[in-house]
Amino acid sequence: MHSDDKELLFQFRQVATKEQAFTAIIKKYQEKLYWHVRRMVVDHDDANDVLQNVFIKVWKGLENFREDSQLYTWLYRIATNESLSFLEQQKKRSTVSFNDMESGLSNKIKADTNFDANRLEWKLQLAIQQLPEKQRLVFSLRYYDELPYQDMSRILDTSEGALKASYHHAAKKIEEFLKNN
Amino acid sequence: MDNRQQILAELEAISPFMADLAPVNPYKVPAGYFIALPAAVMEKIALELAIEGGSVNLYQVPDGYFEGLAGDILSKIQTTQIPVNEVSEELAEIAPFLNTISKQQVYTAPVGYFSKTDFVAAVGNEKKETKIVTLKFARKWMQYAAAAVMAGILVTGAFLFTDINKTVYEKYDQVDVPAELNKVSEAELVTYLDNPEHSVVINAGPSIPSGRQALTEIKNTIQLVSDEELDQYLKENSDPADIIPPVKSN
Repeated sequence: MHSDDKELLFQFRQVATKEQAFTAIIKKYQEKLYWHVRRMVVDHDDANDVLQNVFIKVWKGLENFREDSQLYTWLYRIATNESLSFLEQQKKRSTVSFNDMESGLSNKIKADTNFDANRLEWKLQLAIQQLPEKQRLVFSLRYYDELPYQDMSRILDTSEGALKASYHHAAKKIEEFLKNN
Repeated sequence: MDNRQQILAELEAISPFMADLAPVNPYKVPAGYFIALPAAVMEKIALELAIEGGSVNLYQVPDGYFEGLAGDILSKIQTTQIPVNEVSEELAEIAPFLNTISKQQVYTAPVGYFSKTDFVAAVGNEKKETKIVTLKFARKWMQYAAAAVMAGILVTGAFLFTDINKTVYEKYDQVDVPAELNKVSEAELVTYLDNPEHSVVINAGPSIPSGRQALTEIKNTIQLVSDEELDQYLKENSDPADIIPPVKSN
């Protein structure tokens, strides 16, 4: 664990500095976690709701956090689970099929005020939304967050070999999508 | 080789097309979002904790509300109860002054009396311990003597008023009043009625002697009756058990 994370955890466990330490943790990891969540749920308001729930869960669980693992992998794990739970709830509410859900996320991307169909980076986002959830997660964590497979393995509770295979499949599918659109 | 170089090399091997793309983030966030987020999260955590702890209260009450609440309730109870009190209303008509006097209990019971006393058990014990008390002979004799004297007085009085006056009444019963009146002339009747001593008081009841007068008369009458007569009367009219020995005169 990074020394500054250790210090933040120590301060969090002191009553006098608890809130101050937690604010520092939010400031340190909010952007990384936000983008991770945002790429999964697409919409900013949804990402904001999910991210706030993530930090509430972090607040409740941080007291019992074991320091034998990295703080940020634990935070990513919570953010990933919250994002997947949110998408699951969306599916149940809309009672639509998986394919409809994917097109729903694509529509959200197209509804973004900054969306530009001619720009490749927007096409890439549309391509990512065509992937199954697990591949989407793996691709996002590896391509955008540039996490090592070891940490990804802890976050997603999957073997490094399986993650490499998922990433390979995801990259190939995206390439194919971009070449065809 | 650092992590970034590893990722690029990996992507070059999988898809040279993807490796040439710059990992640009097309999404935007509202201005100042990340500045405001920590405070928003902390506020939400505080609310969450308050709800979980059950201490959140979205409503507010006026200052000092709870300090005066008990007194307000009691005064309201008193003002609503007094008019309903039937006894007070009745007393207001009969004696309004009494309504102004406090009905506060002036007596006191021993501390813990009502809480400690087991009235049910006490009643049970009382029943078990009840004793039958026999009257002593002397006391019984005095009661019998007093009863006999009173009975004697009453019986003698009745005897005298019935037997003695009986002869007088019998004499009047034998008189033929209409025949006797026919013998009297009208002048004699007028003269009789004109006499104030013979005036008739209408609606006036018979003169009834007072209790003391009656007692005096009975005493005087008893003195006229011999002991033998009294003894005879008691034998004829009294219960054998109540007979007491005749009093010997000196």
